[in-house]
Amino acid sequence: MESAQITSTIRDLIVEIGEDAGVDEAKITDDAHFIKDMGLDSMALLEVLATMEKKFGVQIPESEFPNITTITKCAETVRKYLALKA
Amino acid sequence: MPDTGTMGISEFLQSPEILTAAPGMQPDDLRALILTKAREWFAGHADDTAALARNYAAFGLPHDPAFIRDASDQVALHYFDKLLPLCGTPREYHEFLSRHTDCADAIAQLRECADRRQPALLAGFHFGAIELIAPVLAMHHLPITPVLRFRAAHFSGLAHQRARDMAISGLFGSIAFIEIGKPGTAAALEMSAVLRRNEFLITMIDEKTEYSRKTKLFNREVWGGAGIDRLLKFTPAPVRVFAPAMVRNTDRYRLELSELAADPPDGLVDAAYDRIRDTVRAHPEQWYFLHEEVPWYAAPVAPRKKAGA
Repeated sequence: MESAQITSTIRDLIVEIGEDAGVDEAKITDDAHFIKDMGLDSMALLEVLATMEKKFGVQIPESEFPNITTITKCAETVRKYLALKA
Repeated sequence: MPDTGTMGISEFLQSPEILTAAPGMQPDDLRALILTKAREWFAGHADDTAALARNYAAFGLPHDPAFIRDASDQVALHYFDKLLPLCGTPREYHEFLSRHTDCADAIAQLRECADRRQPALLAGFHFGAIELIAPVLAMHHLPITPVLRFRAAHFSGLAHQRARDMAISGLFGSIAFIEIGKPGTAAALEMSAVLRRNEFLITMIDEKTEYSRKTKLFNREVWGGAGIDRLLKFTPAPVRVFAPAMVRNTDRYRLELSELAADPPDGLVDAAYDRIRDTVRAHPEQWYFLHEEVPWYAAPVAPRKKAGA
């Protein structure tokens, strides 16, 4: 999968979760912090994690959970585990 | 009666004076002190006593004065259970739990999970001696993580220190708390991580949180679940779910575990509430939650959209 496509898929996911949580779409940028800038809560972060794992077919270990903070960092994490899987 | 201002019974019974005195006390002395203080509290706070009776009545449960006095004492004993780990040394606490708790069947159920490396969620509720569940499981060196909301900052520090001392003694396994209610934390991720490690998570489900949903209790609609259905939905491991109840019988405690169907997790909250109903029906006086505000269900003005809808 193309790098840009991974970022785009995660961006779409965050927009969907953000919409459910009432986040202003203008606040959703690739480097906006999920909690500090968008106001998402920890259950939303868990949904991000679980959906990324399902969509990309990877298992993200607990040590990477602190990186579930921005779209950019999520995309980097997914790319890392897709590469390990390949 | 002391001037307690806007203080609630929780703060009153976990005052710095009591928390400071507890380590030097024997369990029986602490129990007597807490009961005396709580009776003072209820005698001076007729509104709290009335609220307790009103809440029991709303669920169609006993609420005559003698029953409410018993239920008030059970509220007090909940605080005794909570402060008990602070009494004496970890060895003395271990001896107390060994002498006073019956938990062989429950431990066998959880030991089977541990041996098979199956994660387990213990969906607790404000009943009986819930505070003793984590220490009893730690005494059997089961891999537990309780989810807690500390209302008294001083007690939070003492509890963490005590858990460390208990683990250092070698008589208890480690107890790693997940603290909720603090802004900016990632509690749900931490909770899921416990289950992904095939360990045991203990969490309370009978509170209203953003992820609680409508359920029924004694034919009344309440908010419940505290998001455990969503937690399991987003946790890939096949988690076994149990409803635990530590039933208090005079000076003994018995840990009862009922397994709940968790796959799919959609009906989990209702099943857990059926279990709460059955347990409360058998021991209504031990439902100490009723001294607080009941999370009656009211339809949200703008319902939250369901994920994936």
